[in-house]
Amino acid sequence: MMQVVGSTTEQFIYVASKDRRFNINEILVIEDRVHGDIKGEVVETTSFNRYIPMAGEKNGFVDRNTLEFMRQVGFSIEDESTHIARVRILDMLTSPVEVGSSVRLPAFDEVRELLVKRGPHQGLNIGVILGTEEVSKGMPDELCDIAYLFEKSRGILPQNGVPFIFDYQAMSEYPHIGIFGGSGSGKSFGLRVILEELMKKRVPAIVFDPHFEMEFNNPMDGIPDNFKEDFSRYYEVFTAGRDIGIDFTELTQEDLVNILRASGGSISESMENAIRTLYKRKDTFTTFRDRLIDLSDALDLGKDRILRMMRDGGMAPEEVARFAGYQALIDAYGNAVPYSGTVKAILWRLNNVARENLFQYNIGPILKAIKSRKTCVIRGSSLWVLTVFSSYLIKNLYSRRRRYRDSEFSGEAVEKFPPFVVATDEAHNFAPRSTPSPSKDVIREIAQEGRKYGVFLILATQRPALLDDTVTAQLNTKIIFRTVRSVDIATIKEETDINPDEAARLPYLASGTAFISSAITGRTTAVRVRASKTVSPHAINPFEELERDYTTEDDRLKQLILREMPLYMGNLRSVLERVNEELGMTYTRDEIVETIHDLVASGQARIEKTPLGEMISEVKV
Amino acid sequence: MEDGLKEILKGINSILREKRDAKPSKMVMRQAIEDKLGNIVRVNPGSKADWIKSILVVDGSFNSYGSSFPYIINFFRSLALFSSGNERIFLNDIYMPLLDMESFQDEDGEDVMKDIRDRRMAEMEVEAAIEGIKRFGASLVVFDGGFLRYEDKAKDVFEDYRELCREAGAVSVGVIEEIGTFDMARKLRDGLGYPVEDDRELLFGVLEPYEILEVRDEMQFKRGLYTVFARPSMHPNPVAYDFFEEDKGRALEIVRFLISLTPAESRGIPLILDIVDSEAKIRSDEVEALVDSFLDKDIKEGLFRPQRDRRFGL
Repeated sequence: MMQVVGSTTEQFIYVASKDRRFNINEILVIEDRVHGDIKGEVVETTSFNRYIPMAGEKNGFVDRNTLEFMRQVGFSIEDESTHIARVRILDMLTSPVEVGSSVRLPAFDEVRELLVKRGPHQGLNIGVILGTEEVSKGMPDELCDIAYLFEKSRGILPQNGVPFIFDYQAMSEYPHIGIFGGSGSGKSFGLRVILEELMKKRVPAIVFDPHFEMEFNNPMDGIPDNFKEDFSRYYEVFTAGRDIGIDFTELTQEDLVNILRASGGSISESMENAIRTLYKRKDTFTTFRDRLIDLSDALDLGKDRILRMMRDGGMAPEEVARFAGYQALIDAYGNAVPYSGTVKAILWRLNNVARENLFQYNIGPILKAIKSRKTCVIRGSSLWVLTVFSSYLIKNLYSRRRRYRDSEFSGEAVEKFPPFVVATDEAHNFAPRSTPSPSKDVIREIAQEGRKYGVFLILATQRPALLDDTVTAQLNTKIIFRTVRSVDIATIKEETDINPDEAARLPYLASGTAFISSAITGRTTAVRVRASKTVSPHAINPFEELERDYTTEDDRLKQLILREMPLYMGNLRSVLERVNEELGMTYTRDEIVETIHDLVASGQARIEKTPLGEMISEVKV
Repeated sequence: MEDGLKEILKGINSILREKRDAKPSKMVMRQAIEDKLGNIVRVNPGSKADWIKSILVVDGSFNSYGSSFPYIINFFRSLALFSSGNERIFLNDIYMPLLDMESFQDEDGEDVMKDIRDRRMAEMEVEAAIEGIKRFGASLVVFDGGFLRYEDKAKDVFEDYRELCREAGAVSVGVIEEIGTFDMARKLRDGLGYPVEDDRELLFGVLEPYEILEVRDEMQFKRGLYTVFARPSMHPNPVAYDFFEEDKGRALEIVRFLISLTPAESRGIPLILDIVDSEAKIRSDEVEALVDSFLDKDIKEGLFRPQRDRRFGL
């Protein structure tokens, strides 16, 4: 029997039970005489046994012996357990809950509205709501077996509760998702699950992949067939500077300034002015770079010297043309850009970008993929390449979408462009709180305005405190995994409706468990994120990889050598050739000799002296 | 602190220091005890005689509400907890001198009330024990406190109880945490050449853990009773166990068993007594709640509410 005890308020009550242990986050129904049935959520649980008091100054630790003798005369120690739950009332009440009210577990239908807002086909299946194990027994079939769970030591586990189905369509009203959590908290894995679900719904997405982990073609081990999914047709991986890049001719002054700023850490005001002055519409990378080189040379020579040389004459015609060009440059830009140092600094930055081959490609392949409702995974050779490219890409796609949406009102003929999602891990690098970043402005703009145009952000970070606060404030759904740093917890407390009990649990959340605080659900829900259907390519522990890949390499070599036996130490060359050919490796003679010695040492082979030199033969067991 | 108080405390400390330094060594004390009082036996904790099948544990508490005599309400509660099935017998009572003024003719009201209160408390504990034996038939009854109090304050009912135990074959023991007697100390004082104040001081730290002092018959000082001393835990405090004379033969077994029920890290009384004590306790907030719920406000304010409740939070 469960009963309301102690003193109550209209928001919090205590429920006690002799025989039933409470589960955190489970929903209980309080049968209140005045208010009728009220729902509440368990936010804290305690159990105590008055036969086994707390060890303290007053009473020492109760040893097993003492309890054993109490049992021997018939005391049943276990019967004296009392379980207490602190329960947060989910309904709006105007007066306190009646003390003494009976409490029971709800039937599924009573909490359906509260827990499942959307059918599994209408929303994203993120995981299982904690504390719903018992209530899920009365759940309809369509909600069962759709969210398997994963535990490191136990592998795939069955779904043990009501699924958490995120109503992603409501993002049009409450846009953007933040995913926060420290390393090992399950944050990246949560991002993966959301991306899988978005792919299933064929929502076009741009995913920046700083860690090279966003592949969706390695199925998770041990998942049941009905849970498997082939995502290979739904996503494409692009690498900036390899198959995609920045179309220089499409850049604006602003873009160029941003790109060059990111490529060299920072730029001075005079450099910025110089870029704006020197960059001309329709410039290609080459025309712009040549202009910079020439101007730099011209400034080095100096106006006077150029004039003098022109006047002195005696130059070849192409020389004359060159100096005429210098003069024209100086006339045009000499006042705005008087020092060659400024130009050289710009050139250095421009070359940095060019060296990454960023200007050799364009975003055509991405546009195509987005229009066919795919997820585009974007990589870069380094974080700065990725941020430079991301700022350009997001801006470009966002303005395409914007132009298209605006044209629907203006009647202008603009190419159709679909709504899309921008997702990234390490979001604090893309929109940092206090330092500038090339992508910050556009992310901020999408955070504030994206909803209107159907452009949404999914920003994952382990340092929410370092994320730009305008952006943070616009994340209407926050998925919060284990967080240890107090500054981050403070930010989370400020930016979400999680209560102090939940905040206190943040540092101890199990990996893969998160609080989802969302304007869409209107409350904070504790969720265990489902098993992902796919795993990241380097989910393999590097040490396991060492065992798996490199032991076999070694073993295969040994097998091959054994097959070659008997062999003579004096004639290893042909063995070496065959082995290398078969294994596609380049073992040296010394390595082969070493392996032969290993085989002898482990008793798999033996050496005999023969007239033809040392003969190695296999020892058959 | 005031200088005056400091000086006084320092003075007291030096007197006590001197006395303490003069205390004979543990060996000397033990020798004297064994010579004059009885045997010191060491037992192994962790034993239960077969005949002890179930136990009944008894305790009581009282609390009061009110201003000054006779505007006082006394609340009593006694509890007998029976081991099998954790069965409980609670007895509750209230005593108000205001409704019993003929008991307070010309004597000092406070004293009389205290006496009535002590009697009622002792009676209720014994009554709970009687009820427990009748209902459950325990083989061992454990009281929190010595038997002298019951003989003194609840003579008749305690005699009935003793009779009932004889018939039912139940053995009773009273566990005394705070030894308040000084009979043994007096007997040893001269021989030791040291003024031991009381029995507690005599035994404190002298017995080793799990040692029992079996006091010889001629040295027993409570008439009709039989008392054993022991150090039942690591704590140096000695504990006394009262038995009826007729149960003397079982005393050692019972003390061994009670030591088994005493956590080694505790201050020396069986865990179950602590539990019964806290369950029986009438807490002040409980009293307040009862008074608030069942007395009309004007009656409560006019007659009983202590003036100190009305003080500002100082």
